Amino acid sequence: MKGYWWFAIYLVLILLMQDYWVVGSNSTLIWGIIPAWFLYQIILCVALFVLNYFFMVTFWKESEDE
Amino acid sequence: MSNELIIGITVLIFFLALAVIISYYANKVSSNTVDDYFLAGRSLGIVVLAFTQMATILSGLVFVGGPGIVYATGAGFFSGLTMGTCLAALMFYIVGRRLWEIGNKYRFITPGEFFRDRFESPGTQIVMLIAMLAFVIPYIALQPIAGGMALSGLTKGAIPYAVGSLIIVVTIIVYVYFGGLRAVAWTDVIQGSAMLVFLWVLVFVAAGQLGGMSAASEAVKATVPDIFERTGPVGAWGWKAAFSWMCITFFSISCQPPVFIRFFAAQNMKAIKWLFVLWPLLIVACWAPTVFIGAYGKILYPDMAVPDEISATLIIDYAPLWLAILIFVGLLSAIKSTADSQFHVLSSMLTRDFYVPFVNQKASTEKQLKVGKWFIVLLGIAGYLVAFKPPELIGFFANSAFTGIAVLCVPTLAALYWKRATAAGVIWSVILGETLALGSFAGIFPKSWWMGFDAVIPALILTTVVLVVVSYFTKLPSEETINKYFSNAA
Repeated sequence: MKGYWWFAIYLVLILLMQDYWVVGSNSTLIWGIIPAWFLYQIILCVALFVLNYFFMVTFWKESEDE
Repeated sequence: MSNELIIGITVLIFFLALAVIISYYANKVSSNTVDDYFLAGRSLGIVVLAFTQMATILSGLVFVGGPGIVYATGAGFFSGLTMGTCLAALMFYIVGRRLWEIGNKYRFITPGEFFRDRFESPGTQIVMLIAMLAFVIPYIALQPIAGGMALSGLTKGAIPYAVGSLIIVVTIIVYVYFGGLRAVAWTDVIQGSAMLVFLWVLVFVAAGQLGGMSAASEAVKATVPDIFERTGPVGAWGWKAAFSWMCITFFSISCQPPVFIRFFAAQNMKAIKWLFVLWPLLIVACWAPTVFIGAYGKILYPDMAVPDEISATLIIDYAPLWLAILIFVGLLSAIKSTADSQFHVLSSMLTRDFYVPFVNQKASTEKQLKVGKWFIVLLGIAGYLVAFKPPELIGFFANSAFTGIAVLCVPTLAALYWKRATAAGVIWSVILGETLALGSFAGIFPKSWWMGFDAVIPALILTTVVLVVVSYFTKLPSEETINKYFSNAA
């Protein structure tokens, strides 16, 4: 995947983090424990971890390792 | 004295002694070179690099200030700050990767050395040194403050705040003095793990008092619902505030001096890559519990005069003594792991960016190590003295330090990626950007000017504009230097 696609995916993720207007302010408790917006943000952080992993294995050159 | 208390005190002493033992072994395997003392011989592997970066950034704030801020202003605190801290992983790719390549090739030890060489300018080295000192020295006082408050709270004043702070500072000085960055990084693995585990233990201790996590969260929702609202009870975490915090953390973390030099200290690129991948998970795992601690604390103690004391109060009142001491070990870990890194990096910079280039250019390795170790002692004393009169919400005390460091991200990115950047551009952008940031904190520039955003936004814009404009009108470094950094081989 080209660099600009990665840039676009990360940009979308950052925009989703700014959500105050759709799901990002819903404070209904999920599983009776965690406010929905808080869980939403944690999911975005985990998504960042997954995205970074795929970025590392597909885009970041192996040749740079040593 | 009860058996429980004796065991508890033994655990605490063992924990403090462990860092000194690690330092002893670090000293033993060290080759007594400048590279070895200040950069652990550029040997930090995947696990050590990830944990030392995490433990360095996540200070006493996660245990003390974070829950205190949630208690006072709501869980929205998690929003901008955590998102920005997680996103800082992207800067590890943009900045950290290049710094590792360059640092490894040209054997830089400090940020100032890199700037001096990149721009052929001692001025850039001294400006970076002053800017970093100005924002890190106040910050090193935060850790003794947090440690002193915690020790004093845990012992219900039996250990006075001043003595508690002193114990923290002296322990850190001892192991950093003897073991350098290797001791700091190795202890950070243990301290980072302890911090992570015991943060969650404290959540379960607080939830246990309210009938479990579900009952505790329902109680928060029923009694103080605003705490779980994203904007919080006092409207502190609206979109603009969260976005500002995201920018502050995103731009500042890679330019925090201890984080910056750890890019030079990585063993290989693989360590940087895995730091980039693991970082968001480590950050979320540490920040999420602060929200629950603060929120559940609000139910258990609705009217605390000093919100920063919520964690210590929960530990003392609800954990059995043996567990209280173990959780306290986690708290102490969070505090020490940041303070040791700050002491160490400041000593590195004062030695390599001030003493060697401006005082004694012919200083031998032994002399540099000796001076570096003395700086650690002096900084410890300075940090302790600043900590003597603590502010109420230490989380906000850190704010000016992070904003000031965020400004330095602009010249760092320019140095790494923009051939046209010049020494004058860097110097003037830092001076004017920091003036704006500091002026805002001092109230010289009214907050109303920034339309609800933090001063970091205008400061970043001003820094960028000044750097670009001044660079276009001033002299470039030599072609040889530009080729050194921008040819494929760089």
